Amino acid sequence: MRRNLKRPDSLAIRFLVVLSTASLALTASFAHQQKMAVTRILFNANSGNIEVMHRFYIHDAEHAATLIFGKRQTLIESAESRELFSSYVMNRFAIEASFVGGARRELALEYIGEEIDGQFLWVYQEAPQTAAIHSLAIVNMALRDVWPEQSNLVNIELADEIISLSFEGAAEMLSVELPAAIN
Amino acid sequence: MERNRYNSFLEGLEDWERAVLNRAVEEDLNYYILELSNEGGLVMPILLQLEYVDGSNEALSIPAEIWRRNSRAVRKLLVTDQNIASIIIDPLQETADADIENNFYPRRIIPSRIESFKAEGGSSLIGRDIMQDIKTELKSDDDDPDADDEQIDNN
Repeated sequence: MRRNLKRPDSLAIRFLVVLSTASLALTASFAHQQKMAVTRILFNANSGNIEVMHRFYIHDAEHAATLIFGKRQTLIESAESRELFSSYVMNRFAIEASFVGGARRELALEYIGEEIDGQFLWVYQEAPQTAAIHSLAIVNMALRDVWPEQSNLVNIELADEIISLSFEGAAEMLSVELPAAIN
Repeated sequence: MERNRYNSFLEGLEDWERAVLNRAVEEDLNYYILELSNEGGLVMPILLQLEYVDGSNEALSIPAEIWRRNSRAVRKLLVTDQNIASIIIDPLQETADADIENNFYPRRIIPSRIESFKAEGGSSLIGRDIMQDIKTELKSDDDDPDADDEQIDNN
């Protein structure tokens, strides 16, 4: 082993270099895409709103937006592109709340805005909370209709714990029972 | 009654204790004991910002050695000329603190991400790429003045 390190086989190294360049060339068009997004859901006791914050890698979102809208989208420089992308995200995300007492209703999530923060694009939505909620059913297909391997993590942030739902594979709608009803 | 109790308290003191008490009464300073607890487990320097009643500020850095005897809870005595109005721990968020809710005395409501986005209008320099801003199309006179107010449809 030690002898090998001292006198490396130059042919083997050259072969390795050729091999790795070949694999780089193959993956170049997909380079840097993370295909992961995170959505935070927060029950804000101060404002009485349910806040939804979607976080995408700009790099992913830009590729996807170009694919979806058929025209090159530049999310960093164009607010119009960002709003277009935001509307796409909102059309593929929904929360159905089950209220204490048996009623089930889709939350009327309202668009608040979008924001670039470093390498991330954030899309904000919120809805007023009208009654105590005991469970949620969530649909999150954002970018998952573009790339099957896209995975979306949804974190439901409660007072002392975070419940995570992972949208990957065939998951389209996931439900979660909250440990205690949220008023 | 209280005066008698005070006198007997004075009599019970050692000489050096009486000297300390007299000096403290003469100096008329403010004494604060801060009780700090380590919730996360990682010892960090304690960076404090003290705001006095006259509005002036003072920054105070306590090295991480303060945790050497007890890594869970410490107490720190502050002696100040003025009354303290508020204390903030780590005001610039320089330490590895995951929860800023408990960093304020008196306690404050920390705005959520969406609330602070609404408050600042989301156009802070930090989030902007000024190199890209140069490509923004310039507005001409015949542009619709209401164009900025356009909201995209929720449905």
